[in-house]
This record gives sequence, C-alpha cells and structure tokens, in this order.
Amino acid sequence: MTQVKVSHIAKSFGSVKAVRDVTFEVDKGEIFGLLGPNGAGKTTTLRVMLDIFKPDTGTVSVLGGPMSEEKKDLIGYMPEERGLYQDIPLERCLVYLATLKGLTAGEARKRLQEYLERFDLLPHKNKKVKELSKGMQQKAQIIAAILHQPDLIIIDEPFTSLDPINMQLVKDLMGELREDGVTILMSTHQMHQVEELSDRILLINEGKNVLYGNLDSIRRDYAGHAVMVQTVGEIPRLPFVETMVRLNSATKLILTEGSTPQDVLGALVAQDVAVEKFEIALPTLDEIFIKVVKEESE
Amino acid sequence: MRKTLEIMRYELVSALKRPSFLLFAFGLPIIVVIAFTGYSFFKSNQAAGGGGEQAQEDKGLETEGYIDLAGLITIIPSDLPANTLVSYSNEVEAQTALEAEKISAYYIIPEDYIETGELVYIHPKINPISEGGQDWVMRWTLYVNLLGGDMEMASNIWYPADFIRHDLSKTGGASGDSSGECMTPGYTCESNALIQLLPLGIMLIIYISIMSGGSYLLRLVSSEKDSRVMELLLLSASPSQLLNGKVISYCLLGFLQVLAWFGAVYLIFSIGGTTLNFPPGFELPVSLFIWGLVFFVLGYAVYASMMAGAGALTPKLSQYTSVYFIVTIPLMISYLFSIVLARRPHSPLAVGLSIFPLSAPVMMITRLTVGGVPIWQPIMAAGLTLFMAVLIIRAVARMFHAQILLSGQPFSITRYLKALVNSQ
Repeated sequence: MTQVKVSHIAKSFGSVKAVRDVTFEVDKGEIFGLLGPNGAGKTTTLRVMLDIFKPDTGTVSVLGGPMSEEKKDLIGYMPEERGLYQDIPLERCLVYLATLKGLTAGEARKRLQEYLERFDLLPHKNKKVKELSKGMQQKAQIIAAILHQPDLIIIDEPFTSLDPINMQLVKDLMGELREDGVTILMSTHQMHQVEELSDRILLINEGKNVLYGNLDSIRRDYAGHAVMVQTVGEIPRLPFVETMVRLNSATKLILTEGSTPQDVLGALVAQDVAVEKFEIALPTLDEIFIKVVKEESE
Repeated sequence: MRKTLEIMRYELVSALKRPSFLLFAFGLPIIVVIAFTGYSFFKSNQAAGGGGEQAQEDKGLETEGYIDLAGLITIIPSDLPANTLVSYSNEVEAQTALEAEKISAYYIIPEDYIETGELVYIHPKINPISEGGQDWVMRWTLYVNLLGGDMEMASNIWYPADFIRHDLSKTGGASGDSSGECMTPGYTCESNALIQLLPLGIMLIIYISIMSGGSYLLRLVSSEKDSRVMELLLLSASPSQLLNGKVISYCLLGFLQVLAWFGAVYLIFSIGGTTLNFPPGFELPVSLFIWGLVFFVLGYAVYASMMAGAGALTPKLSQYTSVYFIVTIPLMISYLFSIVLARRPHSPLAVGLSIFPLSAPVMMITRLTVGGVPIWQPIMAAGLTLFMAVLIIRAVARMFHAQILLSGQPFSITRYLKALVNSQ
C-alpha cells in the first residue's frame, strides 16, 4: 500500500531551481532512503511533500490523498536542524509539541519518560534545550518526531551530531518502528548510514532522480564485473581474471569480458586453492553515486 | 479548538514565566506603588508630627538642640517625646554636643526672629529625600510657644481646614467641588491636573499595552521562525489555530497588564489621600471602562495580528526592532495626534481619527474619557475596527503559510503590504 506518492514535482525559489523533476513512492512499513549530496534538493522535496511548500508543478499524495489538517497528527517530522524551543526545559518542550499532535499532556509525559530513559536524556529533562549538547538535541528532536506514534515518520539528516553508540540506538529504533508497521522516510547525504537500514532508495542530484528502487537491485546493477575473494595463502595467476587488486582482507578480481564468477570459482577449485570468502563485488552507494554523476556529466 | 487552547495555554505559561514580561507588566506597577507608598508615608510622618497626635507614636525622632536667643521657647510641646529638643545657651556648646553626637542637629533662633521669621538649622547629614530633616519639630514647637502654649489652637492653625465633604451630585445637586468644569476630564479642568491629564493617562496605558503586547508577539513569531520551531508548528496545527492561540493569549496577557497598571494607579490614588485624588462627586462612568475594554481588545487584535504578520515576514530575529517600528507607525501617529487633539477632542480631525480603525483604539478612548461623544461614534468605530481586525487576522493567518515563513526574503514594507493584500 502506497503511503507517499510524489509525481514529477518541481520547485523554484526565484531563479534557483531547487527541485527539477522528482518522482517516487513510499510503501507502507518500509524504510525509504532519500539520498543525495548537499544541495541536491532533498529538504525541499520533503517540504513540498509535507505541503510546507507548494510545488510549481507535479503532484503529491500523502497517506492516500492531499495533505490535510487531520493528517498532521499522523505524521512525525524531524527537520534538518534545530526545531525545538531553546529557552524552555526539555520535558516541557517535548510535551507541548506532543499535545499539538493530539496527545494529552499526561499521556505525552508518560510516553516521554520511556524515550528519555532509552536515549539517556532523563537526567536532563529539566534543563533548558539550549543547555544540551548537539547530540542530545538531535536525540530530543527524534523523540519529538515519534512521541505521538505516527503512521509516517519523515526525518531529515537523522544521524547528524550523533556518536556511533547513539547512531546505532537510532538505527535500532528505526528498525523497531518498521517492524511495528510504521513507514519511515529518511533523508540524508550520509549514504553509507542508510545502506544497512533502507529497503528502497531514491538518489537525487541537482533536483532530479538519479537512481530509484530496491537497494540490492541497484547495487547489483552497478556491480562491476568483479568478485571479492579471500583465500588461505596467495592467489595464483588465474584464467578469466584481468586484474587483481589487493585490498585489506580480500582481493578484488576484475574479470575478463565474457567470463563469469562461476568460471573464476571453478579455476580456484581446480588449482586447489582454499577459498574462505567468495562474493560478487558490490559497490557502495557512494561509489555508485560518483559513477552515475560522472556518467551524467560525460 | 483544542489545539488553539493548547497554544494559548503554552503561550500564557511561557509569558508568565518570562522575567522581562513579569517585570514590565507587574514589577513596574508594584515598584511605583511601593515607591509612592514610601514617599507618602514619609510625608505623612512629617506632617503628622505637627499635628501632635502621631508624634507621640513616633519613637524614631532624633534629639536636636536649640539656642534660643529670642527667648521664645518656654515649653516643649507635650506630644513630643522627651529629649527631642535640648536647650543650649550658646552655639559653642551646641556644636560640641553635635560633634560628640549627643544631638543630630541644632537650631539658632536669632533675637530678631519675630521681625524676620528666619532661623538657622545646622544639620550635618542632609537627607536627600527630605532636605528639611525633622525641622517640623521646631516649627511645631514655635507654633505652640508663639500661641502661649495653646496646643489646640496651634493644631488648628497647623491644620486650618478639616473639610467635611458632602457629595450632592447623586441627588442632582451641585458638586461638592467648587469648579464645575472639573466634572469632565480633559484640558477644560484647569484646577485639577489629575482630571486634566486623565484622558491622556488612560490612553497612554492602553497605547503602551497594545505596543508591548504586539512587540512580544512579533518577537515570538520571529524567534520561532529563526529557530525552525515554526516548521514543526505548521505541521502540527493550522495557521489560524497558531495565530488565534497566540493573539488571544497575548491579548489576555495585555489585559492583565492593563489591570495591573490601572490597579497601581488606583492604589496610588488611594494612598495619595487629599493630595492625589479626584474631587468629591467626580466619578468615571462605568461605560468608559466597558468601551476601554472593547477598544483595547479590538486594538490589540488589529496590531497584534499585524505584528504577527510582520514576524512571519521577518527572516531574522535581529531585524525585529526595525520591523516593529515600521508596523507601529500608525499607532504612534495616532498617539501623537491624541496628545495634540486632547485639547480639541470633538474637532473634525479628532472625530475622524477616532473612527478610523487604525487610530480608533487610542483616539476614541481619549475622547470617551473627556465625554460628550455621541453613542453612534464609538459603535461605528468599534464596528469598523472589528471588521478590520477580522480582515487582518484572516490575511495574517494566510501569511502564516510556510511558503512565506520559510522564504528567508528580507522584510520590506512593500512586501508586507502586498502580502496582506494578496492574502485577502
């Protein structure tokens, strides 16, 4: 079931074309990654999607239709940075924002205790928001986006200012929410952070779709004609292999044209090499992005 | 509605926890009342000493000396505590006693005192609040001695008139006050500055309350934009819920502020006694307070909404001051006109400005305080101001769309007016 449908949207600010042509759909219960470098148009796309900005062209459907006042309570949003009252205590700020999303103050306070504890913010609940570190404020913003248990969560750059431990905490939370059937749209320029979380992605650059679809499929599509091999001892000279590139723990074998990974595996077995690891060399999203952008510019 | 109430509650609590608001709305009136109370208490102590009755209760009088070269003082008034005045035969003795801190000051009554009425008061520590120190003690002592020790007569001279006032105005008779022109506030009353300046005073309190409330709102919206909280708010509540919640809560706060300031003025009048009070028979009509409330609320709705709209167009909190100035120009102009036109409250210009919605909240109150305004005029002014308030609130609610709030374009009066007009 489609939760978000964005169709050929474009948005300009004066002479600046922030979004030129972006199209994607987000299904219920998936974690969707909206990826792209800084200035690619991700935040503008999200704002158009949320009806914060009206698109110049194109259409948007959220939770089955146009954005409405009623749907606001079903959506959790975390803007890229800030978004919290700085001069009031953390608890008061989060409870107030939750009451605007339909919770009673009592219910909001009760739910908040659990999240504050989980995110190690409980001792800081009476501190003014501006007294918290950037990482703490980031965690508080994530809580503000999920406290009212929305059906659709949209988070812009969720991992900014987080240390590895808290980053993992957020990833675990996202995984749990997905298991509960919540749809998550995550926008970031840190593509490697999304690789392990997202089911599908949209990679945009200069306001346009660059790559869109299932993450594994995309990586396979962009996989070079190569395999990663780890063996006991040195790898002998092999047929079907054009080049061998030694990496940290494995060796990347670039195959000759017309050969297959099975040919190489067969050659290794034939030469009685003890194989510890053999896999198709899949590119990272960063590598894919660089490749695509280069191809486009050529 | 629930969200509007939540927003109102949050804004009310936030403002009431803000030291700057508390200080301006309640702190200043309290300080003024305390200062005035202290001053009145001090003055009454001074005066009461001469009357004799309170002096007996006053245990705080310092011992002072005197050298009576005129031979006038034969008795010390019995209502003065013992050792309040100590006699010395010459100035050297008095000076020695002063240096030894046995006395705090001394008087020299020269031989020709009866002819000249002059005496010398030597006081090493002049009190900046009351330069006379406790010189009333000597004045009272001289009164009693010059009248041969007759304290009752001295007291009557000290308080020559003890008026018993009867208010005949309620029965349609003449006022207890001698000047009939002072039955209506305004410049026609030349004998009572309080009544003369009353229209300006009431107008000033309403003007300040509208200005300060609007300023808080402009600052609030501007800061919510600056901190990106606005983005979250817009995804939680509708623009009209946001605007109504904020405007209503700050209107209530402004009303509280007006009450606090009027309360302070009332207390000052109560404390002021005969020196600062309306003449008997003088009463402000209840209808004035009702109209005052109506025009305060309407004026507040117009200007607070305009401020909120300006806040929506102000990209940075740092630009707040200049934007505030631009938006309040109509109110400031009407304030200045009110001062000038208070002398001619029923001139065509004054009537016109009191009906024009942007100046009505200030100008109509000034005229209503003076009185003699035909009932259709405040009704018409209130109706027009209400109409304008509705238009502006609707326009500003539309301006509260993120397209404008997050655009980051610089504020300009042209852009502001265009946004107001285009939002209709």
